[in-house]
Amino acid sequence: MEVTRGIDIELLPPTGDPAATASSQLAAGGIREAVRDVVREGRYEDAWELLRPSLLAEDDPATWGLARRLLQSAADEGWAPSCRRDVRLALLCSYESAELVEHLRVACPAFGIALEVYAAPYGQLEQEALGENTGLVQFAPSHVLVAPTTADLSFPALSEDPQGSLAAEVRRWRSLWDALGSRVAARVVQHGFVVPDESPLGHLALRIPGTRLSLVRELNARLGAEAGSTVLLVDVERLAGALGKQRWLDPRLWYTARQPFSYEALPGLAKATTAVLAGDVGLAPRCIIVDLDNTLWGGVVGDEGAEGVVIGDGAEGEAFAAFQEYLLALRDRGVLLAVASKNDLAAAREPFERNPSMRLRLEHFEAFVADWRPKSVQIAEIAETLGLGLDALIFLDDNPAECAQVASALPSVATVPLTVSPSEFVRTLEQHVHLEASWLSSEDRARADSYAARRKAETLREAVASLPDFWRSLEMRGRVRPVDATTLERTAQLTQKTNQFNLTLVRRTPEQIERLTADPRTICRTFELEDRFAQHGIVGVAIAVPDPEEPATALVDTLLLSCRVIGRTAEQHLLAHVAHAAAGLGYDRLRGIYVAGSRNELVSDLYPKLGFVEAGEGRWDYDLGGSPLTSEYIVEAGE
Amino acid sequence: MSSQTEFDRRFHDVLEDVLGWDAVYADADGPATIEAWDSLAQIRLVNALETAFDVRLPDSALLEEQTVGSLKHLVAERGAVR
Repeated sequence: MEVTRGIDIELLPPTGDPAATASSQLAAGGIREAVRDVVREGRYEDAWELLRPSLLAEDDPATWGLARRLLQSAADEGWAPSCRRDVRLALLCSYESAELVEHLRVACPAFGIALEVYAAPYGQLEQEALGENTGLVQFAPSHVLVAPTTADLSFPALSEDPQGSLAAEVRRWRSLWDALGSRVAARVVQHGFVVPDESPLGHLALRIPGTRLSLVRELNARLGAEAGSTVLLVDVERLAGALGKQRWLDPRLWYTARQPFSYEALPGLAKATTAVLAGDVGLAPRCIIVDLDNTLWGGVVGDEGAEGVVIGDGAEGEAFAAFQEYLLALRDRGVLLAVASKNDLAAAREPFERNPSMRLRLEHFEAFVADWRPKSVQIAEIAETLGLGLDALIFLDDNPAECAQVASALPSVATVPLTVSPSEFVRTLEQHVHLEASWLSSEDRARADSYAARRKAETLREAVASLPDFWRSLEMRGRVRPVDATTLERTAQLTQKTNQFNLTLVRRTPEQIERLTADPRTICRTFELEDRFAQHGIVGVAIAVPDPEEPATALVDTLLLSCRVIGRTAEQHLLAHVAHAAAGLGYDRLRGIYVAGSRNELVSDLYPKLGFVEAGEGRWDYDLGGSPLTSEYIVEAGE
Repeated sequence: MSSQTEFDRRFHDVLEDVLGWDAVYADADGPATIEAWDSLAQIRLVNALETAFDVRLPDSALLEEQTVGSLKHLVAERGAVR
C-alpha cells in the first residue's frame, strides 16, 4: 500500500510550485502594467476593477502599493470605489499606525466597505478610551480596532508568578474593552498577539508556564475566551505563522519606524481585519456554489460512473475527500452549499447517493442544479431560489473558462478557478475567500451573552473606570533633573525630533544647550519616567529663561514630551518642578507660550488647562506666589 | 545599455507608485523638492525598492535623508554585488 502510494505520487503531473509562483508573479507584473496604462487615461474605475481580484487573492506588496496610489490619485479627482457598507473605524494602536491605515484604506473598498478612519495618536490607548470628549469619542466610530504588539505586554522573560502576570494582562485589555463599551456605541475589534519567534530557553520554554512564550500563547487563548460574542478578534498569531514569523516581523522597521510588521505582512493583516469587519456588517459571502467533475471528485461521472470517480482513496482521492470535509465544516458554521454542474441530473446525483467514500451528501446542498444551460444561468437561478443577492455567492470550478463565463455574465459573483492540484484546493479557497462571522448561531450567541453579562458584573468591580484610576494603576515614578554633560545629547535630540507635544518647537544643538546650562538664571531640566510596565528613560525636557522684557518672569522657552508618555500628566509633573525651581531663583511668575506648528495642535490649550491665566498673544502666566503647581499621579523619585 | 534602461524604467515605476504619477524624477530630487517625500514615504520607498530589485539596503537608507540619485546608487551597488 505504502509503495503503491509512492509510485502514484510520482506519476501525478507536476504542479511545480516554482513555476506556478513565477507565472503568478508575471501575471501580477502584467496587471500592474495594465493598471498604470489605464490610470494614465484617467479610467480609475477600470483600473480598480483590474486590481481588485489580485488584492483579494494575493498579498503582493507591489500590487498593494499600486492600489494605494491609485485610490489616492482617484480621490484627488473625486472618484472612489462604490461600496455597500460604511464603517467608521477608530484605531487605537500602540505602534506607528500609518501603514496599517493605508492598507485598510485599500482592503476595505476591496471588500465593499467605504472606510472612514480616525487614528488616535500612537500609544494613547487608555487615554483615548477613558478620557472625556477625546478625538475617539468625537469621531463616533462604528468600530474600534485595538492594535497592540507583543512588545506592549508586561511579561518578563521568565515570570515567577505566571497566573498573576496573565491575570494582569487579561484585566488590562478587558478593562479597555469595557471602557470603550461604556463610552462609544462601537464594536471592538482586537488584534491578538504574535508569540515571539525567539526563545532564550529554547524548546524548554514550552514546558515552563512562566516563559514569555508560554504566557503570550496562553494570553491569546484567554482573550479569546473573554471576548465571547461581543468583541471581535483577529488571530494575528495564526496569520504570522502561516506566512512565517521571520517574514511577518521586521525588526529593522520596528527599530527605525516603530512599525512591527513587514510590508509583506501588512496586506494579509489588513485583509484579515477587513474580513472580520465585513462579517460583522453582513458582507460575508453566504453561499458557495461548486462544480462537480474534477472539483468535488476526480474524473467525469458521465464517463466513469458513480463508483468510478476518484474519491476517498489514493493521493487524489484523499485530497478530494479532504476538500469535501472542509466544505462540510463551512456548512456546519452556517455557509450554504449549492451545486451548478453541466451534467445529466440523474448522473450528477448518483455519486452522492451510491458512492460510500463521498463526504458530502445530497441533503447538504440547499440547491442542486445539473443540466446543460450556461453556468451563469444556473447560478442566477440558484440565487433566486435561495433569495440571495449575487454578491453573496462564490463559485468554484476547476475549469477557468466556466469561471470566466460566470465572471463576465454575473460580475457580482466571486469566482475561484481551482486550476491547481486537488491537494491545494483548500488553501486556494482559503486564500481567495474570506469567510468571517461575528458569531456562530443565535443560540450560541444567547448563551455567550449570558456569560458575558456575568463577566461584566465581575469586571465592573475591578475595572479601571476613569483616567485618574488608570494613572494611579500605572504606578508612575518620575525623575526631574538638571541637564548635565551626560544628558546634553539626548536633550538636544528631543528638541530636534519632537513635533507633537512641543509647545514652542525651538530646535537646539548640544552646544546651544550647554551654553544655557551655564547661565545660573536659566532652568534646564530633563524628565525620566518609569511605570509598572517599562522604564521609558528621558522623555521630557523643559527650559525656562528670564523673560527679556520682565526680568522677574521665567519664560518657559521649551516644553516637550516624547509621544510615548503623552496623556499621563507628565507635563504637570515637569512644570511643577520648573515652577518650584523658578520660585527658588526669586522669579515671581512663570510664563508659558505656545507657537503653532504643523503637528502640535494637541498642546494649543495646554497652559489654560493647567490653570495658567491668559496674558494675551499666545502667552499664559502662573503666579508663583500663589498655590504651587502639584503633580498628583507621578511620584518624584529624584533627590 | 539596454539593461541600464531596464533598471531605470523599473526604478521609475517604483518612484511613481510610491510618490505619485505623472512626474519626472531627477537624480537630485529628494525630500527637499518632492512634497510627498516625507519620512514615511522614504521608508515605503526603500522597502518597495528592496522588493522590486530583490536587494537589502543598509539601515542608513531608512534613517538618513536620501535622493533619487543616492538610492539608485545604493540599489545598483548591491545589485552588482549579488
